[in-house]
Amino acid sequence: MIFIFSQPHDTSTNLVIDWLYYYDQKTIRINSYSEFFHHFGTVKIENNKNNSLGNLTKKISIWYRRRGVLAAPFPTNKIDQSLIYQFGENLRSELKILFEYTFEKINKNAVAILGSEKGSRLNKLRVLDIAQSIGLNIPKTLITNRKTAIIEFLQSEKSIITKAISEATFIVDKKSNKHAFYTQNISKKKTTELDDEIFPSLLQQEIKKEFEIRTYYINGKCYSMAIFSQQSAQTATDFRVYDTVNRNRNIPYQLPKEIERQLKKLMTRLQLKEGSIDLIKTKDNKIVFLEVNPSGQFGMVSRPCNYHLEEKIAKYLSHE
Amino acid sequence: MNNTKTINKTKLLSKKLEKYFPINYSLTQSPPLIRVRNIMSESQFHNDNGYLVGVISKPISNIF
Amino acid sequence: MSSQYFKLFSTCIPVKGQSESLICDIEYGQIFPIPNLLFEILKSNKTKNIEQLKDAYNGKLDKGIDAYFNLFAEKNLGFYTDTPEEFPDLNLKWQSPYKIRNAVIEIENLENYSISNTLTQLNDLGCEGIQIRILTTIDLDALLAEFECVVGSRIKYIEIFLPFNADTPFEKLIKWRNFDPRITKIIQYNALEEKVIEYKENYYKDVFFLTKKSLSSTSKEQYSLDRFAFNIDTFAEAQKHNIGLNRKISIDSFGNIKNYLTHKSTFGNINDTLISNVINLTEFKKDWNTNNTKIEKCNQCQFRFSCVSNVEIIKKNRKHYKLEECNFNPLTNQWN
Ligand code: SF4
Repeated sequence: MIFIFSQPHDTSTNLVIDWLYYYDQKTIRINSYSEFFHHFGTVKIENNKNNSLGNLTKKISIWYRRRGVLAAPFPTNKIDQSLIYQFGENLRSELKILFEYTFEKINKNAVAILGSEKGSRLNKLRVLDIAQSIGLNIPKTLITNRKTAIIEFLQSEKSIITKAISEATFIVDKKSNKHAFYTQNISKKKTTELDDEIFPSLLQQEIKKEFEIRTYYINGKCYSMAIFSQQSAQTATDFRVYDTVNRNRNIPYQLPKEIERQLKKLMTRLQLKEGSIDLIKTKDNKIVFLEVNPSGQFGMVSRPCNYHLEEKIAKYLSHE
Repeated sequence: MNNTKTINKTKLLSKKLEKYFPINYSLTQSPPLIRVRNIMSESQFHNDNGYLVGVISKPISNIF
Repeated sequence: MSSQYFKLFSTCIPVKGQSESLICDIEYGQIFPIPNLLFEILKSNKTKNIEQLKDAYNGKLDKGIDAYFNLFAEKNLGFYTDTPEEFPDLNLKWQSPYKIRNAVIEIENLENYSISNTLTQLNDLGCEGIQIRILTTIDLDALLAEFECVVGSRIKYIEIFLPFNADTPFEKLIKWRNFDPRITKIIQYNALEEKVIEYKENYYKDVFFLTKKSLSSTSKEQYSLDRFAFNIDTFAEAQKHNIGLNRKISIDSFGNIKNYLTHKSTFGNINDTLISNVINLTEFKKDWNTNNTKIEKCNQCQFRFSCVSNVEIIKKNRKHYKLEECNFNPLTNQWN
């Protein structure tokens, strides 16, 4: 029996399920908390019982793909608009505790677990630190709240960027305008405009890239793709040509064995069975590690490179 | 019947190409790219119940 | 510079034809016709750097090689590199979890066989695309009821051919479109004009078409560049399979199960035979692996990994032929 925790509209989940169906594997997909209760019944905690969840056979596999179970219902009552956000937060934290407990219970019955019940967020700073200790090249990174440190960093590195310490996210204002926290270049002019003391910000040396590398890692194996992005402003007058000239090229890539070995070590240290890893091949032929995204979009690597990763995930879940 | 632009020019092309190889090489004109209806890449997707629908990778039968 | 290698992106794959070759860009569905000599050069290019390559042709093709490689780089079909070993070829292994991938269903009335049952079976087998050919003017509302099982199914694409009927209000067709986004194309044949009907609520593309052409069980397939499929899935499948017949099933208006409507053999009737049983018959799958590379004439054609044809295949003196010839001649590179 295979349990997949996902959410509606996740195509990768569908494709993996297609393969599980092909191999006659009994699979249950859970997209929401109501589907959870539908399959597991009530959660009982009583004296003198081992309080296991219902419906669990001995041998199960679990794939924590997406956390649709944590999607809190949108309050429909006419509550004060200003309360909606706090209300939602409250419901979410209720669900969080519930699923922290139940996932722990379910995991005990699992022979194979893919993804993490804790979700896809890693501490990026910790990941960078572990990566460098394993021997991977990382971009020089600095977190500071002082203008002078930024100016100094820019002077020594020539070109720097800033990005989120946590996740690149966005906020929505009352008029539904989105405000995103992008990865951004920091110009000299920008640094002079800063206050002497600012909110702690992450700065990184900008890496001059030849191309990007996206690696999908599963159970010790790396499937890599090189992404050639076309920034050259070609004067393409013929629209037929324009079409190809400005499009990214995504092709299979073979990382040096040494880097694959290091990535495996990193993933083991992070206790991850799968994940999407971002790397850069620099102009001077080095490979620089950027970050790991557990539960990444492997579909965007699988399809252009014909890796059939969906089938490999299905095989892993059926322990073959 | 189909709504994409097509260029049916292979006849013409081989003529043009002759001058590129192997003698008197000049590149004043380059052989054009021919863009063909590619069902997969036309991004005509509907995301419905989690399934991408409205698209398959090849024609079922080309009767029209 | 010249100790460098030139590589085509591994999704831009050269295919040799008898008189002209192609670079198939299966990432973006484009083709780039090239002379056969260039095909040979690109082939030996795999193991040689640019200098070695030029030497292999005794320096006679230096200008041509430079010019073409520059052109390819400029058109984003390839790139120069010192480390070609980092860029493996695209693995052209094909696999699919769908036991049936597409189906042609011919309908004359609602009585000959159960359409809803057929669709349900196809959905269970993972069928992605369905072509519905309606031969007569039938009650569209009653037919629509048979499609209930399509909503939320694994089916991804349905195209419907029906005879033009001036008395059918457009609203009836819109009802079909709005029924489910899987209904992707509705084509009325025997119409008075060739037309794409613009309809503002079409989500991303045109759905309604009118055509003067007529349709029958014996309608022949057409061949032209715009009908070919240049993409990874099809190109990979074509390496070992017949991209028309592989995992296809057809049901004629009487419910007879066939590989394709124009084929002679039938494999039982849908009224008393399960599709899942038919697709286990060796005889039914006989030509699923007869790809164009195994078929005379097609094996010399540069479109062999992209040309979808469902024509019956005949065997003479241990050679395979298509029962009907197409209108392209690979020897002369001419379309008739
Ligand atoms: S039918 Fe054969 S010869 Fe004709 S275009 Fe297709 S592959 Fe080429």
